[in-house]
Amino acid sequence: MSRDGQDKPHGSGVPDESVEELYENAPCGYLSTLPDGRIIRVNQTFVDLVGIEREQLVGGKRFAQLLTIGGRIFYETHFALMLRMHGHLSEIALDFQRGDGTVIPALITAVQKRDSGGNPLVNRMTIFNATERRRYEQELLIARKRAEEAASELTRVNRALSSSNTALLRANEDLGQFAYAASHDLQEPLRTMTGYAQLLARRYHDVLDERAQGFIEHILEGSRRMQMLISDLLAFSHAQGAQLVRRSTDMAQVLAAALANLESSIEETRATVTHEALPTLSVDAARMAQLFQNLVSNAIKYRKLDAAPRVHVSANEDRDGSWVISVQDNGLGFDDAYADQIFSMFKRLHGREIAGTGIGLAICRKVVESHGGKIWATSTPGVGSTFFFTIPDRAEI
Amino acid sequence: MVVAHGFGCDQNMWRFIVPAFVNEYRVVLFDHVGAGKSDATKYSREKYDSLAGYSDDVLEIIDAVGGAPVIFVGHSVSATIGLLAAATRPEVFERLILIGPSPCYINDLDYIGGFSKADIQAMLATLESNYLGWSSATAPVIMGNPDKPELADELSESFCRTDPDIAKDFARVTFLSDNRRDLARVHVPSLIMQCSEDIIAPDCVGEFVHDHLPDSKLVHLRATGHCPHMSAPQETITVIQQYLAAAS
Repeated sequence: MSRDGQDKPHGSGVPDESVEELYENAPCGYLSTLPDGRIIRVNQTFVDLVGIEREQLVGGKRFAQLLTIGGRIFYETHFALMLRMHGHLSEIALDFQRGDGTVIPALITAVQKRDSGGNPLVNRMTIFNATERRRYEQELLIARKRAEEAASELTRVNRALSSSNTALLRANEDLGQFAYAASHDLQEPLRTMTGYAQLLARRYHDVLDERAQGFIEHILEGSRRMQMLISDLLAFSHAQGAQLVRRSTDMAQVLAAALANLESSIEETRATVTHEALPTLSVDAARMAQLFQNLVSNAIKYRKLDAAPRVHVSANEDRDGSWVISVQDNGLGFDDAYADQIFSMFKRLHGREIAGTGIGLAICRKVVESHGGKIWATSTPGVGSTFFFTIPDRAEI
Repeated sequence: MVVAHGFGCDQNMWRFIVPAFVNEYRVVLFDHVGAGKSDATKYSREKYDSLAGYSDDVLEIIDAVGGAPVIFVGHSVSATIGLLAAATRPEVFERLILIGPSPCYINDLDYIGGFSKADIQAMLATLESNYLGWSSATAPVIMGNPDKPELADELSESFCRTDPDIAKDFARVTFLSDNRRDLARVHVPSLIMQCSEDIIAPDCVGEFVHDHLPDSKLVHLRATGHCPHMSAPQETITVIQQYLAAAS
């Protein structure tokens, strides 16, 4: 270090920046060792960092002895080897065991000076206090571990979910098949019972007294109700089971087809059904007709006694491209508290005075959900109800 | 001669001593799975959850290259791996050269391995800090080597490269294993090379191995640290050559 050459003292006010001063009080620790790790030189910054006397450090101590035990193993298994191999190492995280017993995390960069034959002469290291950085690193490590755990937990949950989904699908399929088979098989004995009850009423009309004929009429009335239940159940299991046949369909035509099926009850109740422009969507036309038919027939069925039913169908395109179709009536209405329940199987808000099986709206929900949409209703008792359903945009042509 | 590297490096660690043996022996070098240029996709936690997985690999290599019985040179944990292989199939080994062997790193009653379980946990934490990716411990920065430019780039890039996840498992298996009982099962003649001031395998461990390993010879090296084949290659070469010469 040519103190006398370049580092002449300048005028007063210029701080001492001699090489010696710079080495000793540099903002990082400096340390040199022989190739076997024995310390031969340290600067004041390093002495202060580890809190061990300079005489002790350069008096035969090896670099690894300044480290924590974990650090020593790393030094012997990685650091020393790589320094010998590469001649250079950067940003190695090791902890120093200070003179007072405390531990100080550090970052170490090292180079190995070699002679012309490639033999190591001296190892030089710079040491930075990395207390804050190590704390941050630990947080990163913990966060990464948590993220990995969360990811594997998610995978596990997903796997469980997908297997219970499969089980649920299978159970639903089985149930649908059962409902179909049961309702189909129930029809036959019912037909027999109805037939014989009718025979009894006709052939023994003269023999039976009025009371007995009344009983038979009750039997027949029960049979009719049961027939209605069975055919609704069949329609429901059909709505659930069979594959959709999606085609580009004019919803106005579908509505017209549904209204044609309801012609007699529309005439009978002098109902008026109006509609706005309806879109063309990729849907199963037969199911959609069933949906409209159920909604309009409900609107007529639950009419007010003092006013002819008015039903209005409209359609609006949502911001996400799906369509919301509504069927509004001026009927009896219902308490909004029941708005969710009415789509459940066999749920009825009215008593026997209005015929119904409680399956119609459950079918509506099946049809809408199988198209990927949602169905809901709002109502005010005495004013009327509006039923809404959506058909997602992918269904649109 | 089959040469096995220890934990923390790869077969490149032998480069200072291998040239001394290539004239007399066919020298076979390899990287343990996860180290150097090995195929890390062949790693499985099940197989390598004990050192037996690694010793099976050594036996497979010996079978594949032919020429048994071989002289096996193993450093550190690979000394133990070689001992396990020799206990299983002694007939494929002629001699074992064990550099810094330790059958058990953790202190146990009156056995002194050098470390407590807490020390090993601390070491694993240090590994983790240095395997985060920004440190050169896993992806060495390539620096021009003005002294030996021919060693630059491609070679030095792969030196001591290890797969961090596998290395962490390897460290755990290495430092938590206890193979003291296996020593008596080995009857292949062996040389124990004990370094001075080796904190990984202290003197007392070398003596323990010598006491419990039948037909073993213990040599104390002047070389300090845990890797005499790197820090003192000439002494290491001489000791091995003298042992093999005396044996033949």
